[in-house]
Amino acid sequence: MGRRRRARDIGLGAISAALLVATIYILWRLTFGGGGGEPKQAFSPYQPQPESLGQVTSKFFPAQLTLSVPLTHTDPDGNPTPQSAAMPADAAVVDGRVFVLDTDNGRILELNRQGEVAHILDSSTDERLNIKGAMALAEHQGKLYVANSNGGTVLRVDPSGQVEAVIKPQVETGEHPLRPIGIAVAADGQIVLSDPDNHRVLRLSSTGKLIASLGSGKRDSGDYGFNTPGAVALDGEGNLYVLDMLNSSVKKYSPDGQFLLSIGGAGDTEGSFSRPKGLAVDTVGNVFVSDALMVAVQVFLPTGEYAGFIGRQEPENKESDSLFQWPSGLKAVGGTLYVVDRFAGLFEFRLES
Amino acid sequence: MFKGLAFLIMAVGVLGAALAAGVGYAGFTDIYGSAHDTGSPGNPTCQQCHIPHSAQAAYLWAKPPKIGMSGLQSLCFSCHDGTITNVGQFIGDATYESHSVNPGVEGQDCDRCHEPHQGDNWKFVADSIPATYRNANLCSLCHNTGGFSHPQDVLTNLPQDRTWDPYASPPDFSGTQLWDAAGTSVVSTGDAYIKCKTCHVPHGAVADSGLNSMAYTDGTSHEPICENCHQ
Repeated sequence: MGRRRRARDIGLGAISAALLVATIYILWRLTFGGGGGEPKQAFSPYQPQPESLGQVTSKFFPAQLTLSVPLTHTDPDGNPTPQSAAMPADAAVVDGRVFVLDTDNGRILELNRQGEVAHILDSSTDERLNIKGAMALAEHQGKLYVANSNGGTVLRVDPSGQVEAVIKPQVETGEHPLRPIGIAVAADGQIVLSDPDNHRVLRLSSTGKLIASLGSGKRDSGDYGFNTPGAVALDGEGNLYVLDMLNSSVKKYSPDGQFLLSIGGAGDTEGSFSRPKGLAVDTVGNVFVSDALMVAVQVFLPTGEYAGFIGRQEPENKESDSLFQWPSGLKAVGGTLYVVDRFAGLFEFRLES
Repeated sequence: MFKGLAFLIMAVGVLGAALAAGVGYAGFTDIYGSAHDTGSPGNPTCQQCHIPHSAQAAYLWAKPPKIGMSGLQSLCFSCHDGTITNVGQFIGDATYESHSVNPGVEGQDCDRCHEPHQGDNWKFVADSIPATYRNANLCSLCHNTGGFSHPQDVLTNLPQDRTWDPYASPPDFSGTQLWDAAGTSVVSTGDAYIKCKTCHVPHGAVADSGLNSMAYTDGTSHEPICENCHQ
């Protein structure tokens, strides 16, 4: 009996020892990786890629920088001057006059041709111009339209700073309060608003009545589903473009809401998006997308094909540092592209396509 | 026999724990169902921040981003900039003051306090911070008031968390006041809510104020930070 018991104990001990050895081996492999030779690297160091890989060719989109203004200014003590912007998010052009949305200061700055602040539109010009946290600006028939993001409204503002209307979208309450961060105004005055927290895009009448809604109201994908839609834009034919931020794509819809095209995809290479922020469409249908993590603006042809990028300090050197810091709001007006950078200011490019 | 059996159970336990710690990453799954569970069909949650590298084209990352936000801070801010969320919208705004960090240095950046995967914690405060500090007295974990001359002994009062939203327009500090919505003092009920964040905030603070959430004076005879509690 005693011998049998001892033998069983020895057997169990052997199994236990084997398990311990296995544990130590697994921990060793998990900690130091497999095999000998070179230790494994958690991340590959940055390596410039060959000019062409797969179907996407690395290239600049032809655009010439014509103006660059910082928008933030400090006095000798390092304090912001009264004209200094704080985290500007977007811009709009009204009859050739450039207006920048000074988001964190809750105001709009009109710039002169040298990029200096010529006029400040804020609650002192009209007390209803209370727009702290506003993220998007649009132009229509000589008026500014402000997506008052944290207030859930749209303001129609005269270029002199008078608020002509506070438009309250009449839409069914979603899971979250409406927080519009993208706005475009159609030729007939209809307003397109993004509602990122409820994953939908709203088409409203000029007075705020709901005409149509795109998106399922929850995080979704596919042709008609959005995951945090942001910037929106309209082209000359009335087609709608939606920056579907967390699906890393731009989706294009016909004026009656039919899905036409999807551009991009998640990634950190040319032709894909890491954290897209702004969207614009020029007169020939080229699509411009700013990306904060890639620190660049990418361009796509009307077919959706990748056409190149904009934004290096040396226009002929793709390996040079970025011109931008956090490119966000975009506007394409005629042959000019405006890029609003949350930290680096306003950039103006002449498009050469 | 019992010794051997006990040893076997222990060995299996050690192996199980090792596998759970080394392979399971059980804590990371807390992200599901949290505010950071941002995936959609075909675009999984992990890939919103972690991009698998099967590159078919040239990398477009600038080298390096110039903002001084290399590393974690730029990744966090890439959503918390007023677009994907307005929570923490002013983190990058130089006109406000935020708690100091060392951008890109592990454990000294946003991850000094936050762990983005641990969604079941208050404001994604890291598991490594004791539960009793995962509230509006979080500051006291490092800034112990012992020996300091401080107007409130905040450590004696670990409150529950109430409304505090500096990003609302106007800011909403109602949860830090010492009276309820009806204007009745709550001090006498023993339900007072003085806490670090009654007066201080780690982000969005008044510049050069010692991370104060409100100004001492608004330019008139009013003193917002005092009047928030003293009507």
